[in-house]
Amino acid sequence: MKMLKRTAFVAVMLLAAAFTSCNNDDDNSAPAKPSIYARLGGTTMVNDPDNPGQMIEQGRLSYRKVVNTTVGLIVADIQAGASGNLSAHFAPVLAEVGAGNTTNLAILVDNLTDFFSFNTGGTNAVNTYTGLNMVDAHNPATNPRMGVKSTNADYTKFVGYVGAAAQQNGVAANTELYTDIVAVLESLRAPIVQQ
Amino acid sequence: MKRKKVKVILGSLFGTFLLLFIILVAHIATAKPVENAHIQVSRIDFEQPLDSALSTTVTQQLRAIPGVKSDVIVKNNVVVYFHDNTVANSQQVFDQLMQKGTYNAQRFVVPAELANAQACPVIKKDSWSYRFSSFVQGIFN
Repeated sequence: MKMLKRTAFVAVMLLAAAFTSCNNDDDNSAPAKPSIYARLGGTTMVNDPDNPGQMIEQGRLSYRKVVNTTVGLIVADIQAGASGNLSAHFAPVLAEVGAGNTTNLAILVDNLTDFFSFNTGGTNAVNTYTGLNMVDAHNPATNPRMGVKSTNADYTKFVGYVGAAAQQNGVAANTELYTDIVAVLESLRAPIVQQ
Repeated sequence: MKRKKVKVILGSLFGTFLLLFIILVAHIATAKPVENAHIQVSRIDFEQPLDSALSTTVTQQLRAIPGVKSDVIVKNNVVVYFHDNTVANSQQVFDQLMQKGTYNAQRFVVPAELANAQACPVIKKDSWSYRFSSFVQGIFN
């Protein structure tokens, strides 16, 4: 009788072990991919190179540098009367900057940094986007500082500028991060292209 | 009776005004200040394209000028940089850079056809609304 009990106990333990090891509750799925913001440095606080004594989230700083470089590359391409660059779109802002008023350039850079940071995982309050929605922001009727409506070709050129800016700031074109950033930009094509 | 009505109307008007004023102050106070509010983008066009070594030198020289920010973009013969225009304006930065080396370059000025592009009136810094907003933000930030 004692022997039977022992055998039954061992059998139960073996069965339990077998079922436990064979169940498919184990989480074998790949860990969730970190957000773009996290991969750009995330919420790690670093010194702000443009504001000595102030700290900034690394993710936000990365985006701000890409935004600044994008603006810089567009400005570098501006030629009077030349087609093929985006000067017409930024003309009102550039005219203000030329006249010494930089308010709207600062707002443009800030808004773009907020928008990309918040929508790619940087959801802290510092990145809260308070600008217009993408349709209104790119319609001269609702945003007078948008010089003209964008065509598909204009937007493709803009994506190229952002890509070049990302590469200049250390995001190589053959990386998954670069592909993911371009995918975000492509997801915005429909509301931005309005002619 | 008539006097009481007037009192009620005046009281209501005052109450409404006070409420709207408080909402305005709260709105200004809680608004996130613009980062680098005085940032200006400026450009210098060199006679010849900048090679790698010269590009590095000019970038370092620009960054050493007070007011110039860290992002300096070099493309062919063009250098674009950001600066705080309350510290140094475009001409001052250009003049200081020219003193640091023998460069054949000129400061880029927005072409007239772009400068004349229509834009909405911008806020005047000597206006009451600008001063009031700055005052309230100064208290809370």
